[in-house]
Amino acid sequence: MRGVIALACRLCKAIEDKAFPLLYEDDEVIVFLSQKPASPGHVIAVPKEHYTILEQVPNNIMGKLGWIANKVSVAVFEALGMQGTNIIVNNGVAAGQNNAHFMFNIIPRKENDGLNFMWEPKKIEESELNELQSKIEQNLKEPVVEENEVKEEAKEEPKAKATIADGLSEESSGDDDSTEEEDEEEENYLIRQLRRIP
Amino acid sequence: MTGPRNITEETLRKMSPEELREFQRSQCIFCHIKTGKIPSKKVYEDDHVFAILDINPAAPGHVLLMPKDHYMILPQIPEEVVKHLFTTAKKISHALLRGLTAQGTNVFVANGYAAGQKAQHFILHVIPRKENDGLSFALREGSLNSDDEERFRLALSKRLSAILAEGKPESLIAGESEEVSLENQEESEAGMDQKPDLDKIGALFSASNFSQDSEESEGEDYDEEESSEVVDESQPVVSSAEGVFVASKKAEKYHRLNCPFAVRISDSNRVYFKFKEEAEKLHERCDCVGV
Repeated sequence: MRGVIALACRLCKAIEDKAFPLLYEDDEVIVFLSQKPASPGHVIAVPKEHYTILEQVPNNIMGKLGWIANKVSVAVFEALGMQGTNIIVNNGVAAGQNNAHFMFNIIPRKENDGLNFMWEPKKIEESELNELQSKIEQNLKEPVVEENEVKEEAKEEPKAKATIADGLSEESSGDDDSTEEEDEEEENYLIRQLRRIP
Repeated sequence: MTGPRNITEETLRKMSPEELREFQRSQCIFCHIKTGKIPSKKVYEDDHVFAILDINPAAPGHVLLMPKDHYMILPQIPEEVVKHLFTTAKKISHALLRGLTAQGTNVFVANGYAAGQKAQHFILHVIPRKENDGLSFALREGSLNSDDEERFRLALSKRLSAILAEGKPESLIAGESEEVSLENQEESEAGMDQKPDLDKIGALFSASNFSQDSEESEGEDYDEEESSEVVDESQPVVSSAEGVFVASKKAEKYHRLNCPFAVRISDSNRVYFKFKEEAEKLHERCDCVGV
């Protein structure tokens, strides 16, 4: 049941050709061992349909991926005797995405395994925190586009975005046009970057 | 994550799992934040989850998303809440891209101390990214030889099937789990990763969190005089290096191997079960098994 696949996507082609063995498969997601593991037992979960970035992935698929990532975590722990797992999504080139097909990484961990995802916590002013809080809260309150709209009208993303932009301009007194353009630009920017990935 | 110093390790070791859970909840900063006892910069809330800004962020706008109920690791969380957490993470990611003009986002989970988990309350991080922001979640690319690949794949797919089957009413466990443990025994004989060092994972969730002496807590045993339940030790008990469930001979409940309470069971009291049915003859089910 492959709906949207991208002809240029190597992973889509590999799935289509059944080029490698799978750990799990259903109508929506597949799970397999990474060929270039960050640690022994590194597992990848991807949607069967081709999505590039998180924002394109329908909610039910995102939930499914999280669910299977959780089950894989337990399997990794029990079958491989690992001490912990990281679940990592890299959304956008700036976030370390190196494959144009959206994926969940499940990375088994052990103490002193040479991996470190920890960050240096930054100091941040109360005023900046407040500003961020209101911006994010505001954006989260916006009317959410129904997922079937996004799924079926993948080509008409600008239209979907416009719905959000309308919502924005109703609540704030900002500019209609510039917000709409910004939305398109943000998403297109991510996609454009990813098209450059071989 | 420290608690009052006057609670001794002794007191904690004598607590039942329920009492311990209640105690952890009462000490949990994030549970207090949820109720408003401790102030925070909340950005989202619904019936099941809530999200706040990290006040010591990886980057400005770093959001901490968590379940309202107290859970420590992802496997303990009910399925519907797990799905809801991830769909909410998607919403938050979108808000960060739009509202903060981020160029990308990372969704990050650390399950267990070895994975970098620092808090007792399960957290899903959503981190806004910009080029040259000094952060990296880029994954190194190692190599995988075909022997390892085959071993991992077999072990994982069987284990995963068994885990998924456990959720279904007609249990397929009988045939499959048997294979799993045989496989695992082969793996361990073949020199695969040794028995998980569960004490290390337990360090995060053990009494050490409530005192400053993390060193001492590693390898802590259940106190022998602790449990009230008398178990008939003449009952045959399946004991293998790689069982699927574990219990203390002297306590009520049985657990998954990765349950924070399971890790505290001392070697001499530890007993393994391949099947839930076996375990349930002697023990009650811990919440960790239900998921």
